[in-house]
Amino acid sequence: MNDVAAPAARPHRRLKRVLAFAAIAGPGLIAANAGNDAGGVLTYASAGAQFAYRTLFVMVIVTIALVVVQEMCARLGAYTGEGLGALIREQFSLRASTGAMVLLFIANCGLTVSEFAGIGASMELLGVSRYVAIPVALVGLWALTVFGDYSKGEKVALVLSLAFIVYPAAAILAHPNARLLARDLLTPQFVHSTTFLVLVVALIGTTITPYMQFYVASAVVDKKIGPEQYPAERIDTVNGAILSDIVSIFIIIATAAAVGGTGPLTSAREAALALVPAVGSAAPALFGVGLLGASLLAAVVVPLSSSYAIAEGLGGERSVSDSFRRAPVFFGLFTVQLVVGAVVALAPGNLISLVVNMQVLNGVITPVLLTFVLILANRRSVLGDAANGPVFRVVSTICVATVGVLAFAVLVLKLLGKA
Amino acid sequence: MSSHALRPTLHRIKRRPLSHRRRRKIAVAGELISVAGVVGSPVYDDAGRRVGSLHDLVVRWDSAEPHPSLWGVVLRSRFRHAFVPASAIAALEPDSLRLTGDFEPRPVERQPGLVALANDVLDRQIVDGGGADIVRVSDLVLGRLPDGIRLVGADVSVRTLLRRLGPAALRRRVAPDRVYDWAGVAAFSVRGPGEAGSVLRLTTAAAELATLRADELELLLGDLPPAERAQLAAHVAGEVER
Repeated sequence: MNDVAAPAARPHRRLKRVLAFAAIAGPGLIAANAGNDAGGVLTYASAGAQFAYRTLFVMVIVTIALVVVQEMCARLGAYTGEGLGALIREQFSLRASTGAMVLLFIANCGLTVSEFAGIGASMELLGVSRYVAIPVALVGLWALTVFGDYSKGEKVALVLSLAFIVYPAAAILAHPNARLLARDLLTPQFVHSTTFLVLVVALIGTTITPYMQFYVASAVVDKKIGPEQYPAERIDTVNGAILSDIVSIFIIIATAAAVGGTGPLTSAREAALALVPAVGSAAPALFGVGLLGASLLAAVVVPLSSSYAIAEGLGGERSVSDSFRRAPVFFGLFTVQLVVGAVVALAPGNLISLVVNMQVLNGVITPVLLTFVLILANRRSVLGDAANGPVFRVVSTICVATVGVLAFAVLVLKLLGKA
Repeated sequence: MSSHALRPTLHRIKRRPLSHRRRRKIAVAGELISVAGVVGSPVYDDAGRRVGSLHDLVVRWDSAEPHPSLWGVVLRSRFRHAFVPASAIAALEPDSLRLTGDFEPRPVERQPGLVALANDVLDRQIVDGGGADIVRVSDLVLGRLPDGIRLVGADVSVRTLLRRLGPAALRRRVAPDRVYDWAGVAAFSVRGPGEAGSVLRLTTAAAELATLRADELELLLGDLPPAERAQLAAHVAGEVER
């Protein structure tokens, strides 16, 4: 690693090293990186800017919880052949499942807000006003999904989002304080302030998003992975969760090394400073491109996945068919989320704090939906012999309970106006 | 996360519907009873004393009969469940159940030929043979036929789901124009305790699926969980050979 860590003198040599790192990291890291949406990138960057490395231990714990949760969801998909929306409808009372779907919808509206905020922030970095960029993106994304071929646009967005692959290189090239880094990564470093607690819940909310849980179960069902293929899928799911959190940890480290301890982020330009050690003066443009790609990608995928989960819970999958007129529930929900996302992101104010607040909302909703997942994965009537065993039950219950207590504390603080 | 996995999903939602098939409406005169509405209602003995609440309605499933007959009910009293056979039912109303004087509750046992409507069918997917579609059951409807109470129809509408979220009086209301004939249901899945996954129960209407085009059948099967997909595919293959 010596030669990667050495400060690079000329830009092209620097680029070579970044590419070499990407090659070593392999496709897994690239795929995991694509999962870091606008909300994630900006929240991790905020954590690094505000508390330097101090949230790293939280991220280690969150990674364990993420692995546990994603594994349960993938297992539910593989063994039942049904998505979480359908399973919740079948296994809980209609009122409870309606509550779950409403919460998922609210959480995903919040995420869509942060994706549009990401579009606005990135375009401002590239010199376009958000009051132009967001409405154009709203109309464009809606039309592309409802009338056009969404998969082509998706590829472009995916390539743009790969700009974030420079984060690990930037983190290493920034020469973070190794002693401090190791301490904060391996031992709890809690800061006694409500802002820290709120940020911890935002980190949980953006890492263990309700949307990801519904998504992984549906993806497993779509890929037609059954119990026989599940052992391989389990490895994939666990690796994916760990890799995506490694990228998140690199974002925190890179930002902490660049602007750590300077207080909360106020603009995307500040967040972009983290990439300077890797790409020099190209940092703002590269960050802008990456953020735009990640936001465009997630601004469609997030509302689509919640519309799908809700439609799946409401009826058979086939009750939603081809056009807006024929599938009013599905496309109606999709449209509402997109419009809410764009309108809220247009409100004047600090986009970064808006994004972090939306992740807090996700963090508060997450434990409620996790409880449904936990009950489903514990039920032998649902999973048979693949249901959670005694050890797994304890571990997963501790994970969900911890997330729940933290979220509840933040909810109370917010309601009391203390956070 | 890559969004590639969502592509088949979006494709499925945008794809063309199946050829012009229509679900059959019910053809039963007289009062209809909503299963979602009656479950939870009070149960009285012949002296008018309350003996518990209605937990579930059990029908006997026989693949040769288009409308399964009511076999009995499951009562709940003080957290205990008991089975009461249909012969002990004096009157089933949309909002209450009255039993005869000599009813004898029995322990609840799962038997292969019996289906508990609220637990096994309500809110689950069914394969609609007439409409060649997979739909989720919003409500089930019982009707009084000359030879007794039978399961006559299924409601799969979103409006009925919303109705069920409302107060009890609204929950019990049946909208006959949204109820489809149970005789058109080709298969429904039953998930019993202890058996992971579910098993399809096939009815006479499943034979209609053999008339589907290959691509239509593929779309239909693609929406079922793997075990059920294999089961239905094998059944349709058998029908085609006959």
